[in-house]
Amino acid sequence: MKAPDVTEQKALDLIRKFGLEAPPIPADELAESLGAQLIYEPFDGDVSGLLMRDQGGVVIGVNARHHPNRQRFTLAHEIGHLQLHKTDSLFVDKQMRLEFRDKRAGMAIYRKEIQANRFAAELLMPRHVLNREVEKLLSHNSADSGSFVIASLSKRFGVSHQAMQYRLTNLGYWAPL
Amino acid sequence: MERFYQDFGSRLRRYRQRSGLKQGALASAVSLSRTSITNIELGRQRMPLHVFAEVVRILEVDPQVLLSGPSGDDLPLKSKYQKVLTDRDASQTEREAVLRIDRRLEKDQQP
Repeated sequence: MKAPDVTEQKALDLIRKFGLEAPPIPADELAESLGAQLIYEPFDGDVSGLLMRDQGGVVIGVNARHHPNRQRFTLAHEIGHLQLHKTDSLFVDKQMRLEFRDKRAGMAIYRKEIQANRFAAELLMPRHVLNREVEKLLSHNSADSGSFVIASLSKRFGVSHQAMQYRLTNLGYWAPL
Repeated sequence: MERFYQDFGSRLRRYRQRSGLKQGALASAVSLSRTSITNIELGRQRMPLHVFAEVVRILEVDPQVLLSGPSGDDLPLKSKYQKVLTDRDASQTEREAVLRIDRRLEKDQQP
């Protein structure tokens, strides 16, 4: 298995610190333990979540219209901003995170979004925990299809099939066709 | 008195960060050392009036807003985030999302 990078290691450290080793990782409890106030609101359009920070504290907003799995990923993404990008006062995150075309926002924001995504994937699907679950699953069901593996794991970790498939691919379990 | 300078320092830091200036950049703009800015932001050092005048000009902040306490929380949230939204050319849906949260927070604060 690949070694975690600095961003991913921060997510792993957090998980260890709070003793969260069993899936699904409780992203909401974690955010609150870190002092964030959570607000679920039905945002319009493609806004998935936001983080607002000032001296009064930190507020994380999550789009209540989205699927619970997606809300969890949004929350984990905002926890990433909370932990990684401490001098920014506001993030508003949209679905098409990879399509920032605004040149003034430029690379800095683009890079931060990628970091927050990587952090979120590690937080919700910590590599050592996922590894354990994969081994367990494969030892019991050696003949099962890939789609069954993804379905079981995504249910267990509380993430979308798509997120799990990306994750398994990134960790080298899954070869993209 | 100490509290006043700490609160002032917090507001100064917030407005400096909002304008995207590093401590060092603000320091050289007003001919102070970076350490002085650090100390002023922590409330450990007091800023001369002529420097204050320069700072409000550079940070484009209302002098009253920078002075008024206790911690600038009297500012409506909307205006606190307005600059960030403007700087980013935020879309209408992004603005609305921020305003929604803002309204929820205001409601929660009411007794």
